[in-house]
Amino acid sequence: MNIRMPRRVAAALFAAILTLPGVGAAATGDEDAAIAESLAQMLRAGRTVVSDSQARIDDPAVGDKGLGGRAVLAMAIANYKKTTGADPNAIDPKSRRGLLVQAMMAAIVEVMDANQAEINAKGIGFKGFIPAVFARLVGESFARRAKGQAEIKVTAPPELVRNRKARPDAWEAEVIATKLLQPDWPRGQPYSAMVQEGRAAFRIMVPEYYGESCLACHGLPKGEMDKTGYPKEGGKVGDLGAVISITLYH
Amino acid sequence: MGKLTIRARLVILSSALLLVLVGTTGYLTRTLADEAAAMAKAADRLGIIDRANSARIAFGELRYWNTDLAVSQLTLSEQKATAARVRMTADLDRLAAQTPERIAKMRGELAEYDQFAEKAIEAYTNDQRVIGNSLLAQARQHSVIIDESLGSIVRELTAAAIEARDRVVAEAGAATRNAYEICLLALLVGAIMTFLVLRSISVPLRALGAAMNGLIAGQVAVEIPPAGRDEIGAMARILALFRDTLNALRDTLGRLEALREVGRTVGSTVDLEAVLAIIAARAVEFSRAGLGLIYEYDEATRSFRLWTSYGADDALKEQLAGEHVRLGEGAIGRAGATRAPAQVADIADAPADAPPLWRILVAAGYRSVLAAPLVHEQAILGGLVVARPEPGNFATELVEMVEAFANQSALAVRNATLFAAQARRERELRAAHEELKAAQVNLVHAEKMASLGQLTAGIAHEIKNPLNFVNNFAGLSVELLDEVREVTAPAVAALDAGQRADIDEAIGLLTGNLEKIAEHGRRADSIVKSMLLHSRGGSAERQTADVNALIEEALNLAYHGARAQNSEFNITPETDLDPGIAPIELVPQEITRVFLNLFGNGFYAVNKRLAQARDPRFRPVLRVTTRDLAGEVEIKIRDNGVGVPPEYRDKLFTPFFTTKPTGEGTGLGLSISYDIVVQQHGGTITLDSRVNEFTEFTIRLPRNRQAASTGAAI
Repeated sequence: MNIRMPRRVAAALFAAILTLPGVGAAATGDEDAAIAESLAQMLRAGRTVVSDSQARIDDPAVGDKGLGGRAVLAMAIANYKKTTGADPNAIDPKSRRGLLVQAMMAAIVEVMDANQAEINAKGIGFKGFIPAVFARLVGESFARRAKGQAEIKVTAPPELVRNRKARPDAWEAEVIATKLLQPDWPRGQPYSAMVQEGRAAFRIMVPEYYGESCLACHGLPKGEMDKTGYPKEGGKVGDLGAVISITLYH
Repeated sequence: MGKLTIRARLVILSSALLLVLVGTTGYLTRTLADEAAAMAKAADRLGIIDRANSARIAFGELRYWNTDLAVSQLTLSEQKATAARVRMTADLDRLAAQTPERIAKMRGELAEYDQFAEKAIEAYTNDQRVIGNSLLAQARQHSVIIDESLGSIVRELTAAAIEARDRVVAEAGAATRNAYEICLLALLVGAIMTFLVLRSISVPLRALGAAMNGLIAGQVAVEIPPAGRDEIGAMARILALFRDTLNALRDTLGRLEALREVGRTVGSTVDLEAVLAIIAARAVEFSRAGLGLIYEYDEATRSFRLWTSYGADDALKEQLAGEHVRLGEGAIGRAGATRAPAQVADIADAPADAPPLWRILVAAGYRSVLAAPLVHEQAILGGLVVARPEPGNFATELVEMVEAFANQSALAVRNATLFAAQARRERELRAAHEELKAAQVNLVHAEKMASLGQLTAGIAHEIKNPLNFVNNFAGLSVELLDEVREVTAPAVAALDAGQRADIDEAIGLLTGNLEKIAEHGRRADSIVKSMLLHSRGGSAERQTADVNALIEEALNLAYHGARAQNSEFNITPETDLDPGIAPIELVPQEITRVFLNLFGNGFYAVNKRLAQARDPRFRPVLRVTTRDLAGEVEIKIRDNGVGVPPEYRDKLFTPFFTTKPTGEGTGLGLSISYDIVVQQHGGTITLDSRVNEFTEFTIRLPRNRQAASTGAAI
């Protein structure tokens, strides 16, 4: 699933998140929010690289696309800086935030390196390596690297989920249904809460809306096959298309 | 079948066809119902097979999408798998009614499969591929059982369906054959019945149509089919009535046409014989008799006599013409007496006192007679009789028809009579008109002649004076010559003999000339006197006169008058005058006028004959003879001219009657002569004449006017 958003919009969203008075738990709310913001921005920065490189990735005539893990990470960091005005490497690597951001960046490198054979395969056009797959694989890698401290997943309203691994869990489904899909929900505003799922956790749901570039695969006409062979969802610009779900365990 | 009405026939035919149709339909319905049930059963089996196949397909899809889901993790595959499971579950629910045990067992297997498959997918989702593979292998074992079970169900049901299909097809074939046979039989029976019914209608209808066509073509004797009890019979009866009516109308029309023709003939011609012949012929024609007779009634003898006939040969006509029928006798006599038609049904069965006419008719082959009187304003004019060879009374319409013909005949007779009278009056009027026109011309001529007479009198008076001088001086000259001879006698004597002879001869010639002058002068004077006498008009003054002298004087005047008009005129007047006739008292001028008229007419007649005959041997002669018959004097004036035709003799003395061309005669001469002789002198004037031989007028004048009572022209 491509859940790409313009950088300025994303920055504005996170600025809003950070300024929301009700977001987060009382003691660690700000830290959790900041971590979540960094993780989300880094994921988006990497996903933006993939998105921007999609044509090159799907070029059957080119072998090495130059999209190795380090290269992509460098571009992602550049995107991150451009978006947030901050250097992720400047975050204290020993801090909880720094550890998780570093884990995220390592997950980006891992995913890209692990898929070099597919990305660089000649003679194959569309290779199925798209931003959504990138985001899911990065999330899975990040979870392994975070070792139970944090998880990040790109989910969506149930009817829009294409990969069952991206299915929202019960809490996510409820937040989507009762908050993010409500007509009076402020546009772009995330929802966060402290939840108790065996242990306390900070969970945040960041809505992402369809842009023009999303509609090539998710737009109209509904049911028509997109380039991946999946029927289009019939979405329109501005519709809620995805949600970045981040869980920070305490 | 003819005893049934058409409606009953059609009802029976319809009922029979309906019965056959209902029976056939019932059989076919029952057969089709059986077949439908069998086909429904087969369809059920096919439905079950479809369900089983559908369940098998759905299960195949379920397996596919589960496997795809495990590999791709796409929620779309999960949705497809879910849909396939729903379809399969529904198919199994329906199959459960057929084979509940096997389906129940299959459900158990499906549950097992689902359990293992779900676990395998979850394992794949969680990246536990080895576990997933193992679980899928376990699920596959259950799927094989399910697939085999569904396949066996399909095979069994297919075999049963094929068997059922074959059975249904066989039964349907048999039913179709039976249906064909029944329909064929029904059609055959229906066709035969229809043919019979239609034939029972069409045959008499055709005959009826032929009769109608015949009637339309004017064949009133056309045969009409016998009338049955059905509607066609009713039509036949109506058609027969129509034909009878048509016959009656035709007869009536014929009678009217005949009457019209007779009426037209009566109105268009006055040839009574022709009209009566036509009436007799039409009466015979329309009474279908052989003989038609029209009789004329003679009021004087109160009997009828044959006028004209139709259908009688000359011998019969002669016989009939010889027999007059008295009023009140026989058919025509009774008809005349009663002024109404009378008929005799059989004249062969006649009483002994029957009129002889009947015997003639019986001998000619006639048995019945019908007579109608020709009556006009209750006056019997005649009678119309028709006779026919058949005995029996005549039909009323025939009686009326013959009566109508009789009326037309009476009208024709009346018309002819009126026309004859009218024609006679017209001729008389035309003659009177012609006479009047001639009289007008003659009056004008007479007026001219009167003027001429006055002129003549004046001229004659003027001539008479110089003529007197001529006569007087001629006589005086003779006397003077005598005196000259006496005075010159001495001197003459002195002359020689030759001279004396010359002088004597000259004096003699002079004397002779003068005597001739005197003689012709007297003659001229006589003519002038006559002219004066004639032109002076009637002076009723009677005087004693010499008839012979008057005749000579008039003859002389007439002759010279004629010569004066036509210098080539020549005639030999001959007179045989009785010299012993003593003078008679009369009006000389009037009698002279009579003589002049008769002499003029004689000259005109001989001259005309001379012009017509062109015979050089013809010699015109006018001879006047007088005789003294004691108390009267007879004068005959005879010429050998053209003569007077007998038809003119009665009109000869009528004023203004003339045979001369207009302008040459006034038509008054003989009329005036008649008046003078008969009215004025009490004499007679008669005529005897033969055409182209002679004309002789004889006048007798009484000596004593009172002795003759009344004169006359004979």
